[in-house]
Amino acid sequence: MIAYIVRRILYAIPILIGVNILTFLLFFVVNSPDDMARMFLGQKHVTEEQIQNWKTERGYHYPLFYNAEEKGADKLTKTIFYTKSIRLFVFDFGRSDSGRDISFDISQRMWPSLAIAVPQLIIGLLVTITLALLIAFFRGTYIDYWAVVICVALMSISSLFYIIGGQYIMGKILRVVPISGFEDGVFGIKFLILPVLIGIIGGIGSSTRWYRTIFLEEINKDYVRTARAKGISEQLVLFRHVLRNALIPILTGVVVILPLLFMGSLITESFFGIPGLGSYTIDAINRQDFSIVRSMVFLGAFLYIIGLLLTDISYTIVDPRVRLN
Amino acid sequence: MFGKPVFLITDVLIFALVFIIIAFFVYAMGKPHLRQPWRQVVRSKAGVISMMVLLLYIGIAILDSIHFHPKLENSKEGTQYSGEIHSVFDRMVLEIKNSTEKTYSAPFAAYLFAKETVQLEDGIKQREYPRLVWGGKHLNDPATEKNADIFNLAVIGAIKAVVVWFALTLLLILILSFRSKSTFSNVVKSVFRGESEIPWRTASITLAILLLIIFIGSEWATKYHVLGTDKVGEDVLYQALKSIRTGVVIGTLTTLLMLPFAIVLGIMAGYFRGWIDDVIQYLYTTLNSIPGVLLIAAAVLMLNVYMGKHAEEFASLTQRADLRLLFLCLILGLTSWTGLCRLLRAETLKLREVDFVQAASAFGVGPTQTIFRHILPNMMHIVLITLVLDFSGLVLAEAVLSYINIGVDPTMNSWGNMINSARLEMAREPVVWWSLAASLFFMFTLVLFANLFADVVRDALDPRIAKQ
Amino acid sequence: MSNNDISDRKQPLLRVENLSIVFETGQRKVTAVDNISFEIQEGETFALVGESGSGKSISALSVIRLLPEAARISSGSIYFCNQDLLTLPEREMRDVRGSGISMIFQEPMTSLNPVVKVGRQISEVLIRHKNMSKSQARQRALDLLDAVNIKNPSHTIDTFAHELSGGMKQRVMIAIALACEPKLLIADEPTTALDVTIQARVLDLINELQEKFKMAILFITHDLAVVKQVADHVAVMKQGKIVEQSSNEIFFSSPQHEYSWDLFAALPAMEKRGRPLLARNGSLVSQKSVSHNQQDSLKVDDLKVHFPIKKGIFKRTVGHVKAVDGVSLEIPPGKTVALVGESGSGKTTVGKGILRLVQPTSGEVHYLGLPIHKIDKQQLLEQRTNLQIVFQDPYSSMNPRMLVGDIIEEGMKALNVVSDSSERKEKVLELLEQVGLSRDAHLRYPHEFSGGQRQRICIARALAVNPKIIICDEPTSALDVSVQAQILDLLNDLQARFGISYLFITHNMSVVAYFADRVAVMYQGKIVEQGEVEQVLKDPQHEYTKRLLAAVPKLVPPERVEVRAEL
Repeated sequence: MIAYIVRRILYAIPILIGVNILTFLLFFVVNSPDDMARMFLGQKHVTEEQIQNWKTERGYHYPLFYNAEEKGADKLTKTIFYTKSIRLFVFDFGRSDSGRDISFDISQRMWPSLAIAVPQLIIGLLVTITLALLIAFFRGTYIDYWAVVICVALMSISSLFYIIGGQYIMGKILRVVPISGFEDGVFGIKFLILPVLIGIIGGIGSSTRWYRTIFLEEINKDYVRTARAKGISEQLVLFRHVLRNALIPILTGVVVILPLLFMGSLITESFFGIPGLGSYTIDAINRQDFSIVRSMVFLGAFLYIIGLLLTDISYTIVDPRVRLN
Repeated sequence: MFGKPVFLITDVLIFALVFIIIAFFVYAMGKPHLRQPWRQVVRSKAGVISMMVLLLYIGIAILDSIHFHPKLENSKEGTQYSGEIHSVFDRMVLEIKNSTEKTYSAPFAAYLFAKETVQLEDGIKQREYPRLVWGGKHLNDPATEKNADIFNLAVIGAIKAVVVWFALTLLLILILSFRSKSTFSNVVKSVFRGESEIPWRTASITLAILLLIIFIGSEWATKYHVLGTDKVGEDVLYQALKSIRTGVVIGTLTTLLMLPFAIVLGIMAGYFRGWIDDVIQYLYTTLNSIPGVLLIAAAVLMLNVYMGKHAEEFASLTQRADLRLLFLCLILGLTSWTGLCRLLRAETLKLREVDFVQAASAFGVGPTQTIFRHILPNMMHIVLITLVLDFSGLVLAEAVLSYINIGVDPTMNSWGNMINSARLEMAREPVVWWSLAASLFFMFTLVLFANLFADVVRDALDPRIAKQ
Repeated sequence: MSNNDISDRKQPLLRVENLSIVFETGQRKVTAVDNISFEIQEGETFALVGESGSGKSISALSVIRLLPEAARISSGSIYFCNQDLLTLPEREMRDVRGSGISMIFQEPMTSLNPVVKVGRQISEVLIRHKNMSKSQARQRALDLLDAVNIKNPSHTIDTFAHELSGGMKQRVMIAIALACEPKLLIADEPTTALDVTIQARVLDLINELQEKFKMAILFITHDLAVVKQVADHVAVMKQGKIVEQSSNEIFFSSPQHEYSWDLFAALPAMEKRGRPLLARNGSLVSQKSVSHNQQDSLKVDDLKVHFPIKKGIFKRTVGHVKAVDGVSLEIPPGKTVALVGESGSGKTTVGKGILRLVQPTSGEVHYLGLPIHKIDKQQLLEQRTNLQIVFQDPYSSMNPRMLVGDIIEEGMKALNVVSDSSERKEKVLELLEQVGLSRDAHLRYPHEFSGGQRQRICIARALAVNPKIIICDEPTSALDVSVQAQILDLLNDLQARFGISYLFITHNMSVVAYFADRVAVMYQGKIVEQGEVEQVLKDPQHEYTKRLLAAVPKLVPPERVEVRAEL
């Protein structure tokens, strides 16, 4: 087990290096820092001096890989590759292009993201699994048929519609909860209700349909016939035998996204004015703040790799057939 | 001729795709095992309905992909061409395209949505809702005449639709009776009792509904802004229709562009194993580990910088927007090929151990031939299923990406851009809802029928499901 | 209803009357079971025999009303203890399942829930029907595991299914079925997926428990030898109908129905050596071409195929699975050498190792003076015309996307056996006739053919390159006995005509007895014994061979007097 985890962690290192090099290429080789400066300062009427100032303020004035002007180790460390890319490995994200400490911002903003994402995930899972189980119970009937049609219709609606429609109905017509904003503590809950609710409704169609397929696949297996031959009721067959087997792919599918919950949802957060990492990213994209976007790319990849690792581990915990080594 | 043809890159790719699909169907017709699943598709009602709706969408997208510089008035030096780029579809709806108003107007409105100060004949200035320049301009008194006029136009449209429907249905039955060599009345009976093998009755009803929508809609559209106008007075119906091409291009070209990579790398990893497999797996795990939206955002940001730097290289705004669309397809493809690649790798691993591949190697058949003769043909169903399954997801993704400004060019018509510019108007009193509703509805219809179609295709092609 | 008529006789435990079952898929209706009737008395074993698709399993499932969703009982009634099961409400039917009637299935691998401990799966049925508490049920489950001869019940009870071997799983299944001491046990091919030595033990166990619990058994199988061993009464099914019902003694001495005779005729046996199994295949050329040139033998010397096991952080190779561990063999020209072994003994790997479809770890293979194990690609390509293979599964051994003609032609083209294209096409047609198919088969796809026909096509494909040796990897294991007989006759015929040698890989002893000249017995990657067939089968020397032969159910097929007279 430990050898396995160690191997997986070792395997993650080249992937992180790959991500790092990829983002480096994308951000510094495809376009030079000069281009970014011009973009940032406006295309026209930019003097060379302004560009140099912009670069120096943000540490983009070093050469890419090798600084011939410095001495000793500084030849390698006083470079863009070292300061902007290598430092990511120790989670030193540096300062954003507008001068803020990115690491501090991340530590502040991940909590609102989690406040939305965690309840949404848990309640959403409970609701969709229950629905899928119900549909599987009525398999082959008209209830099943129409439930699937409704699922397909629900998943054909753009997530933008759920948000805009939800805000409109709840905020303008019913006026039950505030349509946007955020507040810490218990009183903040009223701000969470709408985004969580809309997130769940938006995901119902596709998840329910997907879980239904998993359930039906299990229901057709031989061991279910054995269970029925014991004379236990259909409900018990579903709960004790089918659900337990179907939960393995469902839960391990969820585990991989668990770490990514920190990142929040871009759209939801920006619509509802939640000061989380999602809206942080989207603001950075809109302001063309390259440093933040680059940091988020690396952070996202790192969290995803953690997710993969957790998935493998969770398999060994929930599925007795999987034994590492 | 309308003018001088222009071939945008996405046009060329769209037509290449159409050509590939037609070639595949001609090829498949000769092979019973390839024909069989498609027969199953056209025999299901959901399959027929969704196919017809999708064909309508795709037809518009194709018409909208034949571009040219329109001819200007002939001068002495010969024919002059405009710098603008139009499509055949633009030409068909030219009247609506040119029917801009000053600003917002509601669907079927004859008056502007906002009050303006107008100077009356007697010199008194007054704030009122001015008449529209184009919408309902034939009416003398909209308040009394409009409803009757709309109704009349609908009746005319319906009559046209019924005539066309009747002609087409008659033609269909004639062809059917000719092909099955049975009498006309027998065919009519079997079709209208729903006893025919291919659900022709369903097809005919769907055709009737589509024709009604098209004809009544176009009757109305010649006199009114059916879906209103937007902030700068452009017809919303026109925008929504133009957005079809953007959606279809993203939904199809993305998969088309990533297919070669996914297929080649997936098969190589699975077939050759060893270090080739390790390298390819590393490649897709790395790419896959970057959250898709962020990778797209980063790439599009860099594209913005690049395009800003090389602004002078683009001949026109349309070409620039088109290139950006193509790039978006590429970057979306880059984030989505890994899934297919992984599937194909696993399938190849399985297939290379199957007896018939072993038998081929017992005959000394080399790897290239084994791959092309034995492995690739037995995986095509996975590729086709991916193609149709991905379509709807990509159309939805376009809207979200355009909404956060990392999608298609802001000057390009797309549902995402429509939503983006319309959503702030939800705060107005009274609400300007039509732009938003139109884009969501058009998108919903396309995605819904694409999803239904994908389900039918998957059921027909997936050997695991087909067995049950 | 007609209870009065039979009141004077002993009441049967199960009475199936005029049962018909249809499958409905869309518009089509297929009758799977067609008006069958039979009775099972208390404590007896009733065998339902038939080939695949005869409707025997569906009939059994209908008794506990667990038919697949597409199937429907269209008419008839099923009485169990004088109660019509088909009119029972589902709730009451559930009381019968697992308590009055229980069932064991063919595939022990998939019939147990993989994520629930086996003890829980046994106690579940006790809690359901006997109102036991959890601890009582666990205690009883331990007793049951002991009753089905599981060595260490207190350990096994807390394991998961995948930790048990196939035989152990089937024992657990039996424990579940017997937990509530049912009056009727339905056993649907309970030993078909098991090796023959394990089959013998499981059959003994079922027999022992039947006496202990005094229950009746409805035994579904395709294996006549097993039927003879276990059944009191036999019913033969063919295409949904019961064509013959009689007692064990009568059935195995003088069967009444033509189809039963056909089944017996198709059984391979030592006694039938040298003549075709199916009379219509004509007589064999009994004199096999005997041209013993030592040069022409294929010699396998100390062949080893090891697969590495990788472990640890850096996936170092920590050991090897010795799939084949020092096998030596000789295949003389025009002879059949059988390679016999149970699953996992490495016999298939031997075949692939000889052909270099798997690269041998060490050892030598010589043929026609060439070291096959180390010749270069070009030479190997030339030798591929001499050495060919026929696989077990007729469904996966042909590319479903290719025409039969192209499949047969592929080898000729790749190995350049016939270079002219029209000549090649002609040869394909000729080959199809040789294997007993019509010439127009070449324009059809594999899925249009039955399993037996497909195996003929595979043989034609191998024959196309004029091989001198064909490695037959269980070519008849996936087929019904009547089809197996056809294929064996065909192989015999081809050997007589072309003098081809076979390395016949199989687990079926009666096929060996009928078909092979020499036999090599394989056990755990090694050959433990080899020699002439008659000598090895009649006087086995090695302990494992003895055990294997003892486990094979004995059946000497009855023979018709008039048939003998004809010969």
